[in-house]
Amino acid sequence: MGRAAPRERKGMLKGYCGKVMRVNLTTRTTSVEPLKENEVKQLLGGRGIAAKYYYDEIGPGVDALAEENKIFFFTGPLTGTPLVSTTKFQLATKSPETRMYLCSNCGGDFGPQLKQAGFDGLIVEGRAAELTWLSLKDGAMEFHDARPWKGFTSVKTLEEMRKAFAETKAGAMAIGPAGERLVRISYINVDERAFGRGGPGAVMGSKNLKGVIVKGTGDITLADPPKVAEIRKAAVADLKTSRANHTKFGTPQYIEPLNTLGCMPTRNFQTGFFEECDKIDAHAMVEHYLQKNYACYRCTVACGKMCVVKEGPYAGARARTEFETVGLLGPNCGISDFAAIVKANQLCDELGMDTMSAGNAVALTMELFEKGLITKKDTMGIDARFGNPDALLGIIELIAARSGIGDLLAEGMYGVKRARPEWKRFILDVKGMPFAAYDPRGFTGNGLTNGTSNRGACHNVGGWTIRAELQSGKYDRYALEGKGALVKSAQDSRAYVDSIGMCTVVRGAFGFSESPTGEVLEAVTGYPFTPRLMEIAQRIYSMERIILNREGIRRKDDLLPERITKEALPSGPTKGRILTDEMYDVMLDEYYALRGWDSDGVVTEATMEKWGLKELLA
Amino acid sequence: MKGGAAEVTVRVRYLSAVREKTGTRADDLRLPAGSTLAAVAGWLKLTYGIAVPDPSLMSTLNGYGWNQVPQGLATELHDGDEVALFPLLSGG
Repeated sequence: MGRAAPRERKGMLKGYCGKVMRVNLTTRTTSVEPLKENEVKQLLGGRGIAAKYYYDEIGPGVDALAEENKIFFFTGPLTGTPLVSTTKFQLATKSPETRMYLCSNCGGDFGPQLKQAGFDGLIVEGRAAELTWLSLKDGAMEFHDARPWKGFTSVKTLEEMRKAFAETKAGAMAIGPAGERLVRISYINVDERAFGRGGPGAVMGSKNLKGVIVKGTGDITLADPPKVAEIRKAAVADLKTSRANHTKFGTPQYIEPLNTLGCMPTRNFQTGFFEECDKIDAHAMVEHYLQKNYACYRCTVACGKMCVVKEGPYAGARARTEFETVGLLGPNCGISDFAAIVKANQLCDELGMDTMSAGNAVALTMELFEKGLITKKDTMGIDARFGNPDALLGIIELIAARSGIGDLLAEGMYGVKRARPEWKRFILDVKGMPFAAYDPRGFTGNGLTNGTSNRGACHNVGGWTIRAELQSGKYDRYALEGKGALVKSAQDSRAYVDSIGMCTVVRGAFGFSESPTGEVLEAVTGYPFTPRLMEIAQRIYSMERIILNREGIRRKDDLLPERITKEALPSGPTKGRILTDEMYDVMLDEYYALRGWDSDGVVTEATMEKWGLKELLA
Repeated sequence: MKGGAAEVTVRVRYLSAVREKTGTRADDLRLPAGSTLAAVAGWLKLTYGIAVPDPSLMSTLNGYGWNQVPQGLATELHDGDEVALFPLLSGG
């Protein structure tokens, strides 16, 4: 059977379908609406377009778990095209974890399949009366009863949906029991990749939506297919050498260097050096646990590492273990048993929770326990000391079950701080989003990254600067000069990469840097996007900040937690380092000025004018 | 073994994928007092065929990038200094 005809809307730029599917779970209806070409030209797709929908439809008073919240899933122009790792799609929603705007990006097959089904985006709104799953085959959306799957793990739900849908190579997403229980650090499992941060799984849970599966049979029309093929060939050759280490070691290759640099969060960021790092680094992983590589859609790098525990108390555990997961479930909880980390990773996946927020929550619990601020009564009998693998697993289960202290941790750090303000000095977050696995006392720019990220502390959206801070020769890793410009530039390049539909791991092979080059977007869309990318990115970043301003976010919300600003690192290669409020203010002032935001972090009229946002958001 | 006044000992560590090339976690180099970072670069090239500095490799001296050290390759080494080599980092 041949492939169906291209599904793009007539007159739309190539690479796009020109259509968006909207699903209302309350009324069990669907509608199709056009993707606006003038918005695409200004915002590209993915993160940019999803944020615009959020701006238009989610007012500042909407509760993340209310029926009025919506989830906007959007692909980019490269999603699903025959390039490399064109797997990415984005979501925007009100975050249950941070209680503000959330953007998140994800790989897997769902984005490409959605595009091949004829849609650039999928909007989910309303609330189903009963637990429901959705299937989309090309243009046909169907509603199904998911009540028999209540309490199923996210992994089991994906399996059941695939069985029931009976289409090969479908893209699928699902939540686990944590999402059903509205745990605010719940994730969405997408083909074993994840919309991990910010608790979007709880939004699905609040909508009684257990999963969505999609299959498309259409083609994506390209402006210049021979050129696309030529670019792909060159990129594949480039990646074979430039990303060879990713293929062999994946992101866990960063564990040992970050520890050596004194930036590995250890025992709830009490220090930046983990003395047993050699037990959990990439070599230990490859030697003892690696089963096979995992590749997303059309990816030749295959950086995912499926790890399996062969012996010992966690024999049989399997998970696709990443750097952030190892760092935050490992050293940050004092755990040096890689098998226990794999088991904890698997547990988070099955229960449907973000490993990064879970790692921070467990580490907080362990510090509180060791300091005598909570007891076994709170932990339901668990001896919650750092380094105890059983405590790691037990606390994760408490969170998912909302049992004991887990019920409070399930409210996210925002909720914990409101309930127990005296614990604030032990909590590592910005705007309610817990830190990634880098201690910013070792790289000042990383502090600004966490503070000014548009979704709360995040090393990606916030602009990843560590290589430049160490290698470029322009900066001193502990100094303040130039860090505002560095962080802004890294944020901007990430904003456009998040909007095109391609994985950041392969971006270098296509010229997607802070000074974009190449012709791939032109070859796909027929529109001269490349010279405009950094302008588009700055428009997106300030548009997101306008949303945050509308939700009440100001300078006070961009500040770093007390542990970073008031406690010097006590040991390791970064011993004595601190990033004080005064130091941070220097970088923040530079950053706001470069962004064209006022000294309170509010986007100015002139900046709105400069990026065309007055008209776009009118 | 630590060097005397006439020499300095510098530890060179090979992290992550770089260890694939060297087959060892670290070497202790005993160099004449007054040696500079250039001596380490020369030794690495001769011993393992590793060129430093190299844009595809990250290199630090006591936690600072080689590019950040004001004197660059002319930086004088001291007893107990530590060099580390590791692959290019990017966001995890």
